[in-house]
Amino acid sequence: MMKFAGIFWHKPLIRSKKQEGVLFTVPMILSAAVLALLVLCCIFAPIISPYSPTEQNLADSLALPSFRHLLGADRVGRDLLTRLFYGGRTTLLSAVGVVALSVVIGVPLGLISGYYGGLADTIIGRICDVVLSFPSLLLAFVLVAGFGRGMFSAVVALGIVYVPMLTRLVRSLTLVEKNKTYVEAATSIGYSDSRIMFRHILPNCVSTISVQITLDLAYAILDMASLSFLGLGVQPPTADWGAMLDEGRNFLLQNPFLALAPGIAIIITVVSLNICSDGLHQYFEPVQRKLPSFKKVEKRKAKETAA
Amino acid sequence: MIKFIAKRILQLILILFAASVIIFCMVRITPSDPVASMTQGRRITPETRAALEKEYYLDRSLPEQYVIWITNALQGDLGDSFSHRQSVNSLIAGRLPTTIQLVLMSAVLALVIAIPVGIISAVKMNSITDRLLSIFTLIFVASPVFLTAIILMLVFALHLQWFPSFGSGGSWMENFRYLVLPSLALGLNMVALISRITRSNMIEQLNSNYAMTALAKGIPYWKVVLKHCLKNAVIPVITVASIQIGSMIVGAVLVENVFALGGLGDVLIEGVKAADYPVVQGIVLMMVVVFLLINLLVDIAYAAIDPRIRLE
Amino acid sequence: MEPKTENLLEIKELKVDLMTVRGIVHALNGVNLTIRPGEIHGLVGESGSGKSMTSKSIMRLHNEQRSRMKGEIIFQGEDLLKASKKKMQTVRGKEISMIFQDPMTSLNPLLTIGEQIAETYRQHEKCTKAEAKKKTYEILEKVGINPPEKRYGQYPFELSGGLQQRVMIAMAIACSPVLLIADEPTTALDVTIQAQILELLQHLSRDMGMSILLITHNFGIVAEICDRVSVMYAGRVVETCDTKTIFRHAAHPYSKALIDSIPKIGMNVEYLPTIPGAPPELFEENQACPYLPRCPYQDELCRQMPPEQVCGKGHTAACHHLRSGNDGANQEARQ
Repeated sequence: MMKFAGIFWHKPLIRSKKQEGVLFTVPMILSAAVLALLVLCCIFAPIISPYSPTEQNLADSLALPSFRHLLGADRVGRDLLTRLFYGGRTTLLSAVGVVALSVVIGVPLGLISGYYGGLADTIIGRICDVVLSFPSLLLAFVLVAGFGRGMFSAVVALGIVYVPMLTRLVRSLTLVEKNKTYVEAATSIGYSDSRIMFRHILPNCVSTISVQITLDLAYAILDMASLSFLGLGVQPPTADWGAMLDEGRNFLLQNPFLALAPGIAIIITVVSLNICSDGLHQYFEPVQRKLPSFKKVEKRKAKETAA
Repeated sequence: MIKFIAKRILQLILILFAASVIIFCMVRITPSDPVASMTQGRRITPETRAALEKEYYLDRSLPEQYVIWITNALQGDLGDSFSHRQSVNSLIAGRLPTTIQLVLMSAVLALVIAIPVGIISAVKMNSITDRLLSIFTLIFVASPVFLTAIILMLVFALHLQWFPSFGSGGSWMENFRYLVLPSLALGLNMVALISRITRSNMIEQLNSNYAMTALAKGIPYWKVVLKHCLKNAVIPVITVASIQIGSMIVGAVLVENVFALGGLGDVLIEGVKAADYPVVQGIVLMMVVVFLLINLLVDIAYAAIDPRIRLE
Repeated sequence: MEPKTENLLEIKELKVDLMTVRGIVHALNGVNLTIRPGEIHGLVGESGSGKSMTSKSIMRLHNEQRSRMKGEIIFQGEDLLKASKKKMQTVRGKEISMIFQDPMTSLNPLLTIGEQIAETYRQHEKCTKAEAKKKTYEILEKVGINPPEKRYGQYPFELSGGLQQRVMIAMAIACSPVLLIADEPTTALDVTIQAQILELLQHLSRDMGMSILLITHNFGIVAEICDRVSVMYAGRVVETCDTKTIFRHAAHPYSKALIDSIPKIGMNVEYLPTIPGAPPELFEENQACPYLPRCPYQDELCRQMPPEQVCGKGHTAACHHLRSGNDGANQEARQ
């Protein structure tokens, strides 16, 4: 049976090399590299940095950037760069948590809704309507009010908030795929519904979902930062970038880096994620993709024939 | 058309009902003690406690409390705040004008900048201009509103001192000066989203068959863009923009916080932190109503601009 | 002797390359085509053979960044490929106009049909809004859309496919062009409506002395209304002659095979003859005859691109074996 899997996966994630316009464009490589570097820095923060993120050293209070503290130090003399890495851990982890939660709930709901239609679709659709009747962060406020403040409840709250958009996306993709011949073929072989949904339909939606997930990650980082900035998310002494920004804005004149550094970290991460999402989107939807000029392609062809 | 509106209003009421239940339940499952919020942590006798609970109906069962709350809300009374010693209505009334003015100024600013930017980058697709505009918009989409606000404050209020750095003015006109930076921060965030959607819609329309027909008729390119494609491209943009205006209400919370504008946002956040049920319930309910009403208006505007829906 | 007529449109060695996701496609590979004043000229071929590409090239409607054109398109003594953008704007819609396959998506959904027709007229003729409206009524009547006053304010989605195509035609003839390019105008329509639209086109052509370049893959339509016909294959015109000749004495093996594969009444065979193989992909510039892999008459000579040869009065074909392979047919044609 495994042999047939190849037939059904008819929209491969990685395409043949023959295409003009590729997945790994310069901006894509750059942003992926930046993200990778960031993640590595956050993971290996204890090895890279000689400072502790929590230990206070009042002598260095509000120190400006120097060789001792590359980005300066905060009010109680903690090294800013070190805290940036540790804060990044919290920020990135919580963003991944938010998206993972929304995927785990949203994707199956979307598949069921699109595949079965009928009552299931109506119920799921109505629930989504209600959730979408709140502006997204507002619902997060309400949920945080209910679950109590803290990182965990912020992640759960945002995760729930992100579900309906994903559900709707997966539902519409499922509706399209459902009517294709390969699903009919799978049905006629007698595969179970869940197998058809998860093994056959889902892989064909992966490309579009992956674009959305990348984008959701970016939004999750922004929304987590907003919650922490308002004091509803991560609680001290741990700090994510949003909480650090909140703390730093009180010292804008003394040391603007305290606010700017976590801010710029957020911008860089979110920009990179956006570029990745864009790159994936253009790769899967070639209409808006930039194609190389005739000269470029012909030059390359000439080179290939010469070689 | 009337049937269409009636149907949408009925839907809205149902959704609103469900939303109010969610708001109520979520706020009530809070682990913290509401009475503590009223007394600000002072120790009280059990009798006082019972009296307070009775006064705010906290001794009743949850469904009962909900019914009391929603009946009063329908009559326009959102109850009394636990911690502010005034009614939620007067709390909202005092702070709403600033928030509304902020959101409207930001929305206008966002649309005025975003739509031309989107059109230009669609027409000049993949050119240097397009690239530069997209980098510009991308940075603002990636910057959290409060960060944009802080940077604007740092540059224009603290260093250049062109605008006041926080607070708000008395009258509507006076407020204008105080709101320039906040609405810029909020608006720029939306510019990015709206212009990118305008761009991709516009590109789609420029590649459409009817655009080709118009070109084949000898209509100049710019006229095809502005007369034929723009209207078709802008319809979906309106939908998105309206939802964005909804989330602007929330963005306003963040900006108000940075600039200490004393809008609705501060009260809401304090309320969440202090488990001040009536305040949180009331403000959130009001925001949801506004959000849904905007969506309804957009649907109607949508119908007005698109004959396919209007004539159905 | 037939009087020598000046050609209305002359396409010489037109080459069009397109940049696509999969690489450069040599969509047109030296197209030669002439259209005489007042004639209805059919352009036939299977999908992907370059019919629509040719028509879009005449109007210069390709995306400039993603395409490249070489050759000449002489229209009324001027090369359209060298013409300025301004000049092209006055040609489009006024001298040459075009209707498309799918009228539903080819009309702007948000403008009334009246506005869209009047727009063409106002673009090219100096007139007031009221005059344009009056003229639009006339045109609507001319293409059989009645009553024009009521239809003027309707939106495309309110009309049937047939009426939509009539609106497209109305838009195209608003300024009395000398050439109308109709790109598969009836493919999206019901058979009965098809006949009406074709009749309308024929009628308009005679009435206004307008030439029509009719793009189709349907030989039935060609037989019905075309005066002359060109057959396209893999980005080249392989044969051009008048309609009668193509059905009786097609000279090119491809046209012959195409004609043979049309089912005919009274035909009593088990299988319709088909052409084995598939047309080539056009990623590489072809040196050999593009029909080579499918041709029953192939030999060494076919490794070179066959030139266009005259094989009768007003009859040209691009094949090396016109004489050897199809002798009988050509003898007849020349008589």
